[in-house]
Amino acid sequence: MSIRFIKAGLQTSLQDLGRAGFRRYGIPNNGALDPVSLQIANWLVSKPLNSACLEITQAGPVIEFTQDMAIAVTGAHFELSIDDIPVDMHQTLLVNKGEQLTFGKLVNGARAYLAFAADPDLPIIMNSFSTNLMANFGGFEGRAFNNNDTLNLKSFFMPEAKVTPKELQLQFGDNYQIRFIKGREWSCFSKDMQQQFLQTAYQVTSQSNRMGMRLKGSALKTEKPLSMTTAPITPGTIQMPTDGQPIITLADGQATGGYPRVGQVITTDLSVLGQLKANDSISFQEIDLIDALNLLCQKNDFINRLFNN
Amino acid sequence: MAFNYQLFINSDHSILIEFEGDISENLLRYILGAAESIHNKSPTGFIELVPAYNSLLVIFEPLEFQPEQALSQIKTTIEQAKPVNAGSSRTIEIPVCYDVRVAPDIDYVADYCGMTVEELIEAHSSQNYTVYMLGFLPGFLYLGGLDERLHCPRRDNPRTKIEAGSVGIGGSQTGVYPIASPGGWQIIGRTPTTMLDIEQSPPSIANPLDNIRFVPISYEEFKKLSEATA
Repeated sequence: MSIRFIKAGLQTSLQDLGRAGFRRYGIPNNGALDPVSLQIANWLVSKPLNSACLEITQAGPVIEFTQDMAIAVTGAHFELSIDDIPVDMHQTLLVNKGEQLTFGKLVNGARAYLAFAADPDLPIIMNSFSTNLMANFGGFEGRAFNNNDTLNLKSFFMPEAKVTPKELQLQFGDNYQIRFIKGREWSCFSKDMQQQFLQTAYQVTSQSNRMGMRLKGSALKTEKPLSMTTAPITPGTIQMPTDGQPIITLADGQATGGYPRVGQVITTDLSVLGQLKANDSISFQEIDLIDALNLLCQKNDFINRLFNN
Repeated sequence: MAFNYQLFINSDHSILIEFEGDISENLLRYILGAAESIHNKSPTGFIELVPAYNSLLVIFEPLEFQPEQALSQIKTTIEQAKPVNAGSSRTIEIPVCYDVRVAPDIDYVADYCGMTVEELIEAHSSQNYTVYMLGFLPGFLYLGGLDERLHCPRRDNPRTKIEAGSVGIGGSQTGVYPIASPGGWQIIGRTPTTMLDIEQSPPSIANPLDNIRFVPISYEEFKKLSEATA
């Protein structure tokens, strides 16, 4: 009752919606970088939407199944095949014992999610199956999968076959406008600097990872370096280190930071960040709190309606 | 509340409270008191609190976040909050081996600070340190109370890997790396104690306001204790 990684892929780890409540001990949320795609994958196999999935990053794995199983793949668009026969994402897939699922070419996006109609046979650490890659706990031995690892599963069931509603068969571009609300130190930057921040197309750099997205563009600086006291930060915090190149904190990011907080990416747009890769481009749009909350409600209603139809 | 404070909308699901005044144990007791009363009051959608040196972040479930209501509830709660009692803090002893075999920068730091290695060990281990907050790494304790004579700049070239348990000095701060990580602090020792234990609740060895004492041990004791905790 297991799946075996013939090839593990670039960074394949077990993630769910993460662990809340431990930031005061310095422990970040962890969890899927694109929680929307993770939930759609779980919906396709009729599991609770916060169930654990494989998060697959840019170069995907080859997986062998040791028994018949229902799975689903969502998120970044990969060319998928089962024993060399092409199959579509965005639907419940049945794989038979001994078959191999291959993640081929990445067409768009950065991270795919594979859900299975079964549970990982692993301990739940701090309310979550998510892997903390930094401190090496949670998920599978606290790490990303390696070639030849075997993930044991339990509690199999056969779900009804579903197809993702067209509106949720997400495709990803390489150029996004990310909305944010002003951060605590926004006003410490001059009007010119603020304008420059809003008008720059920032490039995602290859130093980005699950902790943070590092951007490159015209440098944003205060007239004098600010004297900052270490303070709490969260996923979505846009920090400005002294070199003026922004870093957006992601799900594995530190619980505290010491750089000026320019802004906070709205919750609605966090999932898109998980689909960006090196050389993609983003610009920033400032919105107010009420709009941010309305957008979140609308997105949530939209997804729920599709799930319930 | 004996300190002035300001509330800020920090994000679409969090409120930041910033306190005025220098960082001190007294301010910390008020911040932790405010945290405790907000936790007990548990405003609609409340998830968690992150106390820091002079601020406190209150995090909510984004879909349940009602900013106006949360702001007013937090304000009322803080007004009535009492500082936590200093008597509830514990003293935790952390054995540290200052042997050069696990303390690659100890000669440099002693030299920089103009003292012998023995004097450095004496100065570092005779102090009572206060835990101010946790963060940076899982289970990392921000400590106050480093002897001014031991202040020493970070390394010019940060190391790509520092072993778990390494005790370092970075500027005016001292602390223990709870897990292996890259880092730029000067490493003056190592503890065999597990600083982060995911099986325990809470998972960290200490909480804010607790006192930390570093107790020197020999390299042989370090080896023995390391094997015992492995």
